[in-house]
Amino acid sequence: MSSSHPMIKAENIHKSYDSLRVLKGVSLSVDKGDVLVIVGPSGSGKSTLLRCINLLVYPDSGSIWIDGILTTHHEVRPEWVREKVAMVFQSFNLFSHLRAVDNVTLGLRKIKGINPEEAREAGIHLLKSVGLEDKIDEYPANLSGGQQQRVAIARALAMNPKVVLFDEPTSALDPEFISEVLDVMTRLANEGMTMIVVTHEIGFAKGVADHLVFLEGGRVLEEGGAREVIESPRRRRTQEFMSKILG
Amino acid sequence: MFGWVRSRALYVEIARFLVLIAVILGVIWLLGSLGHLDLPFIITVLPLIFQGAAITLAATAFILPVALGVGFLVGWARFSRNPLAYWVTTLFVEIFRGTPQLVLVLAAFFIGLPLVAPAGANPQVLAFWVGSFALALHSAAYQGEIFRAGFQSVPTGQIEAAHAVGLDSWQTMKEVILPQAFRVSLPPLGNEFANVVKDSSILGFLGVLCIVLCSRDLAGWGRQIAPLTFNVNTAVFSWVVIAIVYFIIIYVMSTIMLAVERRLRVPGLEAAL
Amino acid sequence: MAAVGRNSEGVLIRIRYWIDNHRSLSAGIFAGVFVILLFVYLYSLTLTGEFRLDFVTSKIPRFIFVGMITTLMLTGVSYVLGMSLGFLTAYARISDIRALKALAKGYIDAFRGTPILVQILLWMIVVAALTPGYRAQAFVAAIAALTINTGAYQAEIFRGGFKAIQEGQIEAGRALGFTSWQLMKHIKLPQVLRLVTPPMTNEFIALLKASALLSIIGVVELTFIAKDEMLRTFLTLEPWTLATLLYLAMTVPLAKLVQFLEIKFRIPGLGLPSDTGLYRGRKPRPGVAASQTTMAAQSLLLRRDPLYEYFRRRNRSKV
Ligand SMILES: Nc1ncnc2c1ncn2[C@@H]1O[C@H](COP(=O)(O)OP(=O)(O)OP(=O)(O)O)[C@@H](O)[C@H]1O
Ligand SMILES: [Mg+2]
Repeated sequence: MSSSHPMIKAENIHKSYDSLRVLKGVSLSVDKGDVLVIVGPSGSGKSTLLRCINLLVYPDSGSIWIDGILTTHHEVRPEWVREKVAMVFQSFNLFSHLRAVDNVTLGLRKIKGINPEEAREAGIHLLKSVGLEDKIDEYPANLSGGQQQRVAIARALAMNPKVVLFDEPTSALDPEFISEVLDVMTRLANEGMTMIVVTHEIGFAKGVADHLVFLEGGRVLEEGGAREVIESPRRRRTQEFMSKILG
Repeated sequence: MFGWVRSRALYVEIARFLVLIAVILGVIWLLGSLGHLDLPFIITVLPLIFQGAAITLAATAFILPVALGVGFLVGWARFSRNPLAYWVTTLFVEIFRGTPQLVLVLAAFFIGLPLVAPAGANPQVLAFWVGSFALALHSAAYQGEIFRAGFQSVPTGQIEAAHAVGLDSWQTMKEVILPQAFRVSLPPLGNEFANVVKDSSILGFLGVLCIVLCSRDLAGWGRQIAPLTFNVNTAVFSWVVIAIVYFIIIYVMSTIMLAVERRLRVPGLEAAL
Repeated sequence: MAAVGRNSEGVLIRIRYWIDNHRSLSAGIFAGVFVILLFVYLYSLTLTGEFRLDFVTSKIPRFIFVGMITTLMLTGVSYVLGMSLGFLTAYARISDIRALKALAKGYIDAFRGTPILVQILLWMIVVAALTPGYRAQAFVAAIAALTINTGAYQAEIFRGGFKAIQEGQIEAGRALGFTSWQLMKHIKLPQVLRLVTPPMTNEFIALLKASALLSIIGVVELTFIAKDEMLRTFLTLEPWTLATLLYLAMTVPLAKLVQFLEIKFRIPGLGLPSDTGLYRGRKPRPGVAASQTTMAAQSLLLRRDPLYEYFRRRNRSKV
């Protein structure tokens, strides 16, 4: 299936909260199977950009295409977009009242209408693939941070999305749990999933990402191949930032 | 009936309860032996007192579900983003939380009753219903606040995650917010139920003494009932009977609530109390 | 521009956000509209004779200067007396002397656990047995009943306040060389007073509402006057509307005060949550988990029952 269009394309996205202009004309494009890493200082609008992409918030202006479909068009239901574009959050956001497997299958059961037994099968399979076969029936409160985040990844994958967005998936974790989550993400990338990852894990970016975008003040300051931008950034501001997170 | 309660706990509970009753009977016996007890008088008023207790029980049985239903809707509306629903229910809460229970009941008797009474209805029975309804609305105001706090206790991140999974607003409400809000609200609800029992003593009192309904001359309200109420025997007895009834109701209720809580227990969702 | 980003926030939600961000202004507007509508409605009733305006104008002095004043006076006096009683009881309750502790606990549970109506009747009997003169009796019984009832509730509030102070701080104070009086004055009291102010204001509201029950033993307060005027004039709508509005005029501002005090006196990290959005009247920020703290704080505003809590605590430890 060779497609001429990128998997995700965003053009000139603007977004303000009241008088605060958070995104001031961001454009980016990700091809199918690619991994894009977004870095940038706190408050630069990284989370807001991700939220715009799966329409958790609507951009004030600009256009977004997912797999060639203009999702900012007023006839596209946001729920449709969110089925195609899954999201993993910094604070996991697992549903506290549901066991791990039910967290994973909620979308299958309630949106796709798959019957509970089949959904459970699928959920168990997904949990196994993130290495949690022994935590299937635990409640989120009884799981460690790394385990919770892996359940959240399984939940994101359950709807069989075309793209997964990661918003600082490891920054709420204790150092000892970071690698287990990154391992899962790396495997996912190698399997050919299209991903946009906000992260400051430079090792992951270097090893896995194809492209990197440096965001500051709601604008793209620099972009290019991941390795290239990390190792030899062109702009001074990017150099400063890279040396800070590398050092 | 108590199958789901740990049996040992139940035995201990029953034993404590029996001890309490023994102590109360002991006090009564002591009063009697000191000559403070007018037995024939007590025997004449005892049915009245039990009638009052029965009214309290019946009223509680009516008030709780009504207040729970209305309170739930009020809490939901106070949580919702719909300004009209929000303000109307806010007004409801302020009015019913800010007016004394007695005033609500009396207003219901004197203003509400004539409005709703069909011709030929038994005023005493109707008075019970409108009075209970007034108390139900009073409690609903409090329960509305409990439910609102329950709704607000669901972290917004989870709501966002539900949207990210693809649930629409209604599904998010049904699958994510409601189950959690309900669970978190259970313990404070139990407390409020106990208060409903106490408040309904007003109905029992007004009903039994027939102050409102039977007597045409209400002017000397206090003085009129004095001979009846201000008798040591009646008072002590009504106190003891009400205390016992109250104890039993709260006991049964808290056992049920705890069993429900245990059934629905979710690690991490136990509300702090 | 290919497409204008659709706004997911409808008009109603926009209004609601505006309300969230202009809390007191919008509350004022809404309350104003409501009061105007109420008066328009009542006025329309006066035109048909269903609502007698002359009743209101002629009786309002009695409602306010006799009824409301008596209500406030009785509530105020009992509240202040109850405060000393409650403070001492709380102190007994946390002391090391077992008998004192048990006594305090017995007092608190007995009076928080039974209907205040029953307590009022009981005090009336006791006082009637001791003193002559009906009116005086009723007054004494009224103050006794309210004081002793609110004392029990206030004791629990104070105890909660003392319990919230960490042991470590008291030890740190000792280590600095504070005497126990200085410890009380400089470390415990400043924290306890801030912690208890909102629930104490709330208790005042509850007491004010309970004082309506005093009409049953013949104390001439607001409810008694409403009932009295009803019997004299055979009007019902007018006296009860008036009484209800006057009660609301006392309780609603106080309830608002509770909310205000809760924000104002909040000590970061102590007792009340800071970022749940519950008290700031705005939308909680994404990701702020509030459940436990919110419920704990909110429960200060609610009515708690000792017997229920007792069962709950005890049975819960057995789970
Ligand atoms: N719902 C909102 N309402 C108002 N302002 C918001 C909202 N969400 C984000 N902002 C503001 O928008 C700006 C950008 O936020 P965003 O979360 O996108 O930054 P970020 O790059 O993800 O930062 P961080 O690295 O800290 O997560 C911040 O100043 C933030 O305060
Ligand atoms: Mg962010």
